[in-house]
Amino acid sequence: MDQKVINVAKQFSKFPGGRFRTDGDKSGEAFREDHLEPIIAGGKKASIELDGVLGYGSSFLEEAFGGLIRNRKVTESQFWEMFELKTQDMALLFEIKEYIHEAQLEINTRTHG
Amino acid sequence: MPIEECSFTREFAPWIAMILVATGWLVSHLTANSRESRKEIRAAVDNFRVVCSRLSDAAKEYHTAPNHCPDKARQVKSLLAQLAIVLPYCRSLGVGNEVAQSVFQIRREITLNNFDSASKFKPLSLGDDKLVTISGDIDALILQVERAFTSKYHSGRWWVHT
Repeated sequence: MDQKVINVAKQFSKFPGGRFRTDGDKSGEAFREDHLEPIIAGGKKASIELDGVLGYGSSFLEEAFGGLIRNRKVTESQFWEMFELKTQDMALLFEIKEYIHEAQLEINTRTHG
Repeated sequence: MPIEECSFTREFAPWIAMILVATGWLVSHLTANSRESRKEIRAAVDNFRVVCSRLSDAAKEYHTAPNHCPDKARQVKSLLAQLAIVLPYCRSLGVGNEVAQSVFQIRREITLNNFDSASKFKPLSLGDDKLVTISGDIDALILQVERAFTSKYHSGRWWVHT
């Protein structure tokens, strides 16, 4: 399987922000649809380099990563098989993990009542 | 017997002197190292306090502004990113994961809802629960880091208490 590298600062923006495209073209929704979903559709693996950005908002992170699970593009376990997150910021890792997990719990609750 | 003692001392005197010099050097080296890392961590903690205080103000300014302000939002995100700089130091204080969790909770509190969206932005009043929580969480984070620093460097251990 191919391993792609997505460097958020270089390939997307140094100023990512907002949840939906209506909030701006560097939103979490835009990042998810333009960068993460094509990886999943192509059955590839990717390493996401998160450092180098001038700060993330939680709404961006939740929509980009939690949105993948909520929109049923992948499950939580599939996400971790396909993507590797690279950052020096432990808080960022904790946060993304939390959003992915919360979205999966939400899906499970909806599916199983 | 006294003659034997004298010859023993004479024979090993250079070795004893060398051991004393090496021990002295080692002790002073370790003490100096410890003092330098304490200074470095103290400077990081002081800078962290400044960033925390600016973050608290910036969050308040952003959320109480009449409209969504992209520049203020960017400033908040930049200050949040600066908080992460102290994380490696917190790891050396033994509270890396706890502080990372707190930073994540603070970022979430400030930027998960009512943030970075011009159409959905609602200004908050100064006494709003969200702002009170943010301010309280930031104070608790400062306390958490200061406690970790104090417990490592003011615990009465002479080799780090320099």
